Amino acid sequence: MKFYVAPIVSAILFASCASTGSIPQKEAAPAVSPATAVSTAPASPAANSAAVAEPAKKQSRVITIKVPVEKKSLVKFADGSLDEYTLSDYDGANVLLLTQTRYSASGALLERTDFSYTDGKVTTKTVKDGDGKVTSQRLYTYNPQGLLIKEFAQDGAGKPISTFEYAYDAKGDRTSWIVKDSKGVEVAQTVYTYKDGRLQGAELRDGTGKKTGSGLYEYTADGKIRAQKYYNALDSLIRIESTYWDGDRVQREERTTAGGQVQQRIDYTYGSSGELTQKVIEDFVGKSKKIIQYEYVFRDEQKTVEE
Amino acid sequence: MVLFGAVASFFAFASEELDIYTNIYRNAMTWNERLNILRDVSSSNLDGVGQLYAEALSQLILEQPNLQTTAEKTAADESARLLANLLGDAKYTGAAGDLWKVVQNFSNPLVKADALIALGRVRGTDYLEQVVKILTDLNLSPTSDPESGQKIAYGAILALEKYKDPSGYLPVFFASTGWYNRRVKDQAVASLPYIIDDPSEPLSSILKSSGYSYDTKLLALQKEEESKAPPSSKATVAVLALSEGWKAATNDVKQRMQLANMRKLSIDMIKRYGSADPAAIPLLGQSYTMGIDSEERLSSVAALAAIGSDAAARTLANFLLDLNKKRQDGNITAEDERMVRAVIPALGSTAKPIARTALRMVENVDWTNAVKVLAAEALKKIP
Repeated sequence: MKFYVAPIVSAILFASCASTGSIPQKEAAPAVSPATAVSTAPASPAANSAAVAEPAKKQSRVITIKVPVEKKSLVKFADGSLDEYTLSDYDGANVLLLTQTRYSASGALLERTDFSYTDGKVTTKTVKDGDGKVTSQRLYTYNPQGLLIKEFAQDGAGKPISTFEYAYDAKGDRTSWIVKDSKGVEVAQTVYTYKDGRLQGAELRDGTGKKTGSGLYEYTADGKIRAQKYYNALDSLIRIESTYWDGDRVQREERTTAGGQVQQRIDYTYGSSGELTQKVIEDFVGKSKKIIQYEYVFRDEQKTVEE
Repeated sequence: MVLFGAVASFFAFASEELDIYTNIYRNAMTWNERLNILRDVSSSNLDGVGQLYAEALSQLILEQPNLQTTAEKTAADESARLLANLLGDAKYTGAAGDLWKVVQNFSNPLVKADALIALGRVRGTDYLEQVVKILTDLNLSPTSDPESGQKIAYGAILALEKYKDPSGYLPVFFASTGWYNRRVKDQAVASLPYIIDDPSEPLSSILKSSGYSYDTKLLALQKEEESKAPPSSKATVAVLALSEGWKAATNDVKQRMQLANMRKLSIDMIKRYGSADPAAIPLLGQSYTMGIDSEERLSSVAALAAIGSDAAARTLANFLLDLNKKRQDGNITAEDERMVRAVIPALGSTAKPIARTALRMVENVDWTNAVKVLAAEALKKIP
C-alpha cells in the first residue's frame, strides 16, 4: 500500500525524517500505517535516512540531523547505460520541492512537474510535457490536523479525471480511501483496520460496496512489515509481497504468486549515511530490468528529541 | 558522535493500489474512463505495474479498429501514448510486440512517435530493423505531410538513441543533415553520441563512398572527432579522410574548400592522436607540397613531427633539403621562410639521426642567423 505521493516526496517526508532522529515505529514501516502518510505518491528515497549528530546527555537534547535531499535521479538500462534523468529543484532552504524536470539521456526535455505549497504542504502538482503544454494537474486538500483528505485530478484542459477522498480516526490513522470517477461517482473504496496500533488489513470494495478483494499484513517480531498478502473477492490468495530487512533498511521486496513464483523484485542499495542510492527493479513476467540511481545533497536540521 | 539511522519510510510495490486500479480499469466501459484511470496510475508512480499496462495496451489494440466516435478515438490515442510511456518507463520488454502494433496501426504521428520511443526504451530488439527502416525512409525525402513525418522521425531518433545499436547510427546521422526542422535535426545531433561510443565503422563507410557530398564527408569526420572513439580509431579515420581528401578532385571553389577543410581536420587529428599507418606519411607530404594554404602546410609539418617515425623524419628532412636548395638557388619566398622555421624544429623533435645531414647543411647555406640557431638547437636534440 502506498500512501505517499511523489509531490510530497521532499516536502513532507523530508520533514518527517527530520523530526525523528531516532526511528519510531511509524517511520520504520509507514507503508503499513496510512496515518503517517499525507498523500498517495511513492516516498522519495531521499526521505529514507537521516544522520544524527551531537547527542546531549539529558532526556531532552538537541540533535543535528543530516537530511538527504534528492537532486538527481538517473534511470538506467540493465546494461548500466543511461535512459533518462530527472533534476529536482527546491526552495532556498532545500526543503520544499518546487520542480522536477525529466530529460532523455541526450538532454531532450520530456516532462516538467511544478509543485506549489500552502503552509508547507503541497497544494498543486502540475505536469507539463516537453512542449510546455499542461497535461495534468492534481489539487490537494488537508484537514486542520494537516492530513490529506482530498486529491482532485484534472487533465490539461481542466476536465476532471478523478477524486480521491481519505478519512481518518481520532489517532490520525487512515481509515478509508475512496476513489471517484470524473463525474464524481464512487468507483472504489478501501477500508483499513488496525490492531495494536498497526495496520492489520485492507478491504477493497467496488462503487456499490461489494467486496472485490482484501489485503492482510504481517510483521516481524520487532514490528517491521514482513509480508502483505492479497486475496480476491472469494478470499483466495492471489499474491504475496514480501519485505526483507537489514536492520532498519529494506534490502529487498519481492512479489510472488500464491504458488510462490517470483514475479517482481526490487533491490535497494544505500550510501554511507543510510540514504537510498540505488533501486533495481526486475519484472520476470515482462522480462524487464531497470536501475534507478539517486544523487543527493545533505541539509542540516536542528531538532529537539525527548528520551 | 554521529549516529546514522535509516528511516525506511517507503515501499515501492503497488500493494493494494494495484488491485484497486485493476478493478476500476476492468469495470470501466469507455476508453475515456480507462484513460482517466491510467492517468491516476501514472501519477501514483508505482513500480511493478508493467503487467497491467501491457494488458491494457493489448486490449486497446484489439478494440481500436472498432472505435467509432471522435471522442473514443482521441481517448484511444491518448491512452496509447500514455501506455507507451509507462511501458517504456517500466522497460517492459514483453510489450514490444504490441508497441510495434501501435506504430503500425495508429495513424496519429504522436502516437507512433511515442510507441517508437517506448520500443527503444524496452529494447525491443526484434523490431530494431523496422525502426531503422522507418527513419531511413523518412530521411530520403519530405513526407506529404512534413509535420507528421517530423514527429515520427523525432520518435525514431530517440528510439535509436535508446537502442544503442550500431545499426541506428547512420540513420540518425543523416537525420541530422536531413530535411527536418531544427528541433528534429538538433535532437539527431544530440542523440548520436549516445548510440555508440566508437562510430568509426559507419563513419568510415561514408568517407569511403563516392555517393556522399564533400560536406557530408566533412561532417562525418567531425562526428568521429567529437565521439568517444579511442585515439587509435580516430587516427585511422583521419588518415582515411586525408586520403579521400586528396583523391577527390573538383574545380568548384566551394567544394575545394570543403575538401581542404576535411584535410585540415584530418591532419589536426593525426597531429593529436598520432598514427602508425605508413600511408599517412606520403599524404602529409602531399599536404605540405600541394596544400591549399600555409595553414595546411604548416599543420602537416607538425603532424609529421608528432608521428616522429624514421619515415616521418625522412620526409621532413627532404622538405629541408628542398628549402636549402631553393635558398642556395636564390628562389626563396616569404612562404618558404615560414616553412623553414617550422620544419627545422619539427626535425629536431623527431630526434632521428636521419635528420642530421639536412640540418647541418643549414649552416652552410645563406639562411639568416635565426634560422641557423634553430638548426643548431635541433641538432642538439639528436643523440
